[in-house]
This record gives sequence, C-alpha cells and structure tokens, in this order.
Amino acid sequence: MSPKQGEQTDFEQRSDEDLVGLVSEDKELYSYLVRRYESRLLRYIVRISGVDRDDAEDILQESFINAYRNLCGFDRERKFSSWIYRITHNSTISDARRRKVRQRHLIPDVEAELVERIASDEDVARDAERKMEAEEVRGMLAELNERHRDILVLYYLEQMSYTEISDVLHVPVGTVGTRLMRAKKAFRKIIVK
Amino acid sequence: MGKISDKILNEIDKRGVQQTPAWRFTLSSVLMWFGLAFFLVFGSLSVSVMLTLLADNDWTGLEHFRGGPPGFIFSVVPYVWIVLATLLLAAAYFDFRKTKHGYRYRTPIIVGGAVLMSVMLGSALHAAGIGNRADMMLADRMPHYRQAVVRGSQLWNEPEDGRLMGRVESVVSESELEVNDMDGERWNVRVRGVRSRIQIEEGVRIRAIGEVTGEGEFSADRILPWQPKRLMQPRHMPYGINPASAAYNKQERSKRPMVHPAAGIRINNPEL
Repeated sequence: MSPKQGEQTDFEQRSDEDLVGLVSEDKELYSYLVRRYESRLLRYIVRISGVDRDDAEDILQESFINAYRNLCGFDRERKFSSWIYRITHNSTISDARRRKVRQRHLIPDVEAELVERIASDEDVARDAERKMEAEEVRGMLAELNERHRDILVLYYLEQMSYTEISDVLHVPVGTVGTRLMRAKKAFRKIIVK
Repeated sequence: MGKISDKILNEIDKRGVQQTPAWRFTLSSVLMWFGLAFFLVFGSLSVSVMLTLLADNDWTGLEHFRGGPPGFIFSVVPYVWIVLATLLLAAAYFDFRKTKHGYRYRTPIIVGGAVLMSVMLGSALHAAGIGNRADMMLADRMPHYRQAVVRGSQLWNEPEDGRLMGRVESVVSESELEVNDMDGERWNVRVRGVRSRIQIEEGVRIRAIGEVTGEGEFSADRILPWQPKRLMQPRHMPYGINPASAAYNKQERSKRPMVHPAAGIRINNPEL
C-alpha cells in the first residue's frame, strides 16, 4: 500500500519518530525517512571517511538497510537523527575496517570547509590569523587522529550539539567536551607549525 | 537524490529484509538487566565472604608472625574473593555499558557505583550471616576452595613456627596444660614464667607462642586468648556438624569464661 496523494503532505510533516512507528504498518513510509536523511548522511560518510561517491552510496545503502532491520529497537525517546547517524557512523567504520584502511586525506572541499570552520572558532581564531593557502590546508587534517577528526566533523560540519554527538559516538557528554577540546588543541598545534 | 532512496527500498525488497520483532529487543534488554543484577548480587556475595574472612581474624599478637603485622595481613588477604569480585564487577561494568543509556555515564561513575553498591549490599549480606554461610558451604563441598583460602586461624596453628592454637583440655598444674590443636592433635604445653589476666580453664581457647620441645611437647613463652567469631571444623575431620551454628556457639560460649582479650594468662583451676 503506497501513501495516497493527499496523505503525502501529512507524512512529510510528521516527525521522524512518528514515521518510525508507522513504518511497521506500511514499509513504503520508510522512503520518507530515507529521503530526509540520504543527502546529509551521504555527505557525512564522505566527510569522515574520504571515500568516493559510489562507495559512500554503498555504505549509505547498508546503513539504511541495517536501520530498517532494527527499527523496532529504536527508542522513541531519543532523536531519530542521532540514531541513524550512529548506524551510519558504525557502517562507515566497519567498511574502513573491511578495506583495512581509512583514508587519511579527506576530500579537498570537505577539508577546506572543515579547516575554515574550525579556524573561525574564537578559541582557535587567534592562531589561525594568517590566511591559509589551499595547498597548506590539504593534508592538514590528515595529521589528526580519527577520534579528533570525527568529533570535529560532527561538531563543526554536522553542527550537532554535545548531547547529539554523545548519542552518535556512544560516549558520555563530558567526554565529548574533553575530546573536542583535545581535538581543537591538536588542530591549533598543526596550524601554528 | 530520489534515486538513492528508490535504490535502497528496492534493495530491501530484493533481499527480503525483515524488521526484527520488538520482543527480541525487549528480551535482549531484560536479559541485559538480569545479567547486571546477577553480576552485582554475586559480586556483593563475594564482598560479604571477603568481609567474613577478614572479620574472622584475630588481629592481636601479630608481632609474632614472620614479617610482623604486614606479613600476617599479606597472608590472610582473601585473594580468591578479590579476584572473583573484580571479575564480576568488570562483567557488570561491560553489561551496563551495553544497556540503552549505559554509554552516557563515565567509567569512574559506573565503576564507583558498582563498587559502592557491592560494598553496601555485601556488608548487609555479611551482617545477615550470608557470607559466613557461603564460605562454610564452599569449604564443606569444595576441598580446593579450602586449600585456596588462607584463614588467620590456620596461620596461628603452626607449632613448628612457634605458634599453637587450640582448646585447653585440662589444666594439669599452674605451668602445664593439655591442649588440643586445630588439627585435633594433643599437646602438652608448659608455660614458662608468664602471668596475666586471662583465665585458663578447661574448654578455653588459647593461642600459645613458644617452641616445640619434643613429640607433642610445646614450651610457651606467652599465652594469648583466642576468641573466634566463628569456628571452622578441624581440617582432618569430615563436615558433619556446622561449628558456626548458633547452637554450637552457644554451647561453646557457655564453657568460655568472660575475659578481656588482654595479653597474658591467669590460671583459674578450682581443683588446684
């Protein structure tokens, strides 16, 4: 049973959590959730793994299939966005493990955007006063370890709150703060080199 | 972008992916909490046995041990139970981390909470005598357990090292006693020039410090009282009667004179 024309707008306006409850009755409704998140998650996969678009799509597909399989286990008191990010994050890491390598270099555009955002943070800004050349930016983030890079991507590019990051990475909120502070410190060290 | 979502939905259909039923998640969560309760209860039970074993020691006269008080403490630490409690608490920690909200808590909070709960519950179990019962039951049924756990009383019953522990069977004279040690062996104990406040009479439990002077002969420089909180059956005897039972202890207590556990002896034989 596919949603009728008149119902479509209604479903589009429903919250993620409501839709999750309805998918068990009509699996076609899952497409609403997929459409809401596919571009964000695809970008996220590329941002944290540096894989090309085709590989990112494969990872995204596995993430959504995995999420569909476990939809009844979703705790509706939590945000669906954090849950689906968590699944995607794990699928991306598993994929990198399968390939036995996680790209050190991010996609240049992603890297530049991330560096720009971190550098505009007032904590870091004074260390990054000079304008950095594209070539300098390239490889800058490759020097950061994966933990630091992931948290910088979630905070600066995905613009998540500490609680959301805690739900994605499955670490306490306090640890998110500590890890972010360490990541920024590591980043500062790299830019003042 | 619509193409990706179509592709994903087609793939779900093609592979025949089914949603895992909700009851499985509920069951998994319930099992997780049961596991956590199991680990905490048994961790607490380990703590209660630990407390029982530590409380069972007589902490006086430790200077007579090789290595002094630290040597004694090092020997009677219940390592088996410490290892077991640590393993159970570690299991509880990992189990809790896997619960729905477990990741939100910092490791020191989880570990601290588990330790605190185990100590509190363990103390309650110890106070209720559960630790004692568990220890007795294991000692009764598992010979290896008996060998693995060193009790303070065992360390006091080493005549060759100058320490004898037992019950006065008869007071022969002011300076001569007949004592049955923890292993049920009879000793003729000669007391060399020590006087003090402890009353010595039949049935009293004592610790003697001195040396073996011959077959079944022990020369004591000092006699100390021994007031065990509970009694273990001699090692060579099969377990029949629980020596820690209330009836047994009541009977034993009635035989024992009320004395302050001060060092030294006071001979109190009405027949002398």
